[in-house]
Amino acid sequence: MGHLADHVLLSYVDDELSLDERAEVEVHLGACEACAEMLTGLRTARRDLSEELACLDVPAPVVSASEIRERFLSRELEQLDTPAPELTPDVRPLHRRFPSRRPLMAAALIVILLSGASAAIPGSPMRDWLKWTVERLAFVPGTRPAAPPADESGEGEKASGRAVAVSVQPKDGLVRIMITGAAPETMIRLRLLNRGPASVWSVDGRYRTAPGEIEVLDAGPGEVLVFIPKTLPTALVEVNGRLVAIKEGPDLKLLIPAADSSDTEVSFPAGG
Amino acid sequence: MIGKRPDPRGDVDFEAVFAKLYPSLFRYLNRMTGDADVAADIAQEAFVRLLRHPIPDADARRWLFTVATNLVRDWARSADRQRRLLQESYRGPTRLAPPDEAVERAERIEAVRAALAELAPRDREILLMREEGFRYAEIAEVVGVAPSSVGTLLARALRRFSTVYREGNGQQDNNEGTDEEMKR
Repeated sequence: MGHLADHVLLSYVDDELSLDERAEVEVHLGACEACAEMLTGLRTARRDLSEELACLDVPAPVVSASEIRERFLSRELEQLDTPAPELTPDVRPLHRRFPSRRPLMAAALIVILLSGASAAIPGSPMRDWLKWTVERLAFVPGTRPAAPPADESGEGEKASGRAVAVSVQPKDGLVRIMITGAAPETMIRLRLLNRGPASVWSVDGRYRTAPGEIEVLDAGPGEVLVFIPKTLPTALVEVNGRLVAIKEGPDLKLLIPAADSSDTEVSFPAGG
Repeated sequence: MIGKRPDPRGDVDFEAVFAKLYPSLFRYLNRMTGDADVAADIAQEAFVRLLRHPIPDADARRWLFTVATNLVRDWARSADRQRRLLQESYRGPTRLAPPDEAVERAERIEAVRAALAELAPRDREILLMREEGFRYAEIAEVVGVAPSSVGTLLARALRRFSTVYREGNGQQDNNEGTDEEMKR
């Protein structure tokens, strides 16, 4: 009669065998003293291991779920603030980038100087052309391009990606966020970091839900409403993969400028 | 007009998951790395990542241990750290023990650390995960081995640990019989 392998006996100790396998092992153990002794040895080794490992244990540092959540949120915000990587400038001197262009540049400089001198002569074709060009581009009243409007719309905040806290009084216990002007293919995602009810309403969206997450595909056209209970500590709203609002405790932080904000509702365009 | 939709409910209770799993994950990582600070950092990082990837509560334990195990592997990748792994001096306990007891305890801890350090990283992961109560199928998924091989690997790890620990703890002579039984 052969003996049972140690991994079979260990699986028996760990209750990892099927009922049939377990029955077979027990029949064998009843008839084989060596395997029964080995089983005892394995049980002892298992028990000793637990005791020996326990001497390494130290109390876990005290940290709360709220601290973990804060760390997560600050990391999300940091990512928003991280500027896009810049192209590495080519800092080589001009003459090294274009080693054979030096004579050409000298010739161009001579042409420019001659043209300037020619433009100084009243009635010369060069003077007429220069005058016409300048008038077309800038100096004739009414043709000058309009200066960029003053930044009153919060676009600066939008560019920086920084959070703007707005105050919304929950109505019926719900914080309401309206996303306006959503294109048909807009994707809205609401992520909840705590258990609780929340909803997203759209005209004709396709809904996908997972624990802690509501995703609405093709959420447009038009308006999409997001409802978050005021009691829900943390929730994140994303539009087309971009984080646009974070509800954190009693605050609602908007990461893009609000188009409109009333006491009970805040709204912003889907395009941001 | 805005169409009304069903009211899907979030189902992740992060506080409950954290309270339930943080101590176990920290213990596993502390035993694995031998460094309580590193263990705490990795455990907390795993929970931060869990917030980014909400998953059903039932899967959270396996997911967290998978992420944490991978983070330990990354952490231990450099040769220097690999050498330090599990061989650092013990940082606890806070209680001031009598000299004899303290020496005895330190020697015991040293022997356990040495025995764990003798195991292959994968065997160590398997052994410590089983100590946290994982089933073989879950261990196989986290560690990345066939479920049918977990029993064999675990038996080998247990045998190796017992042998090295007894040698380090001066129990070789008294337990040779048991060791021979396990080697069979």
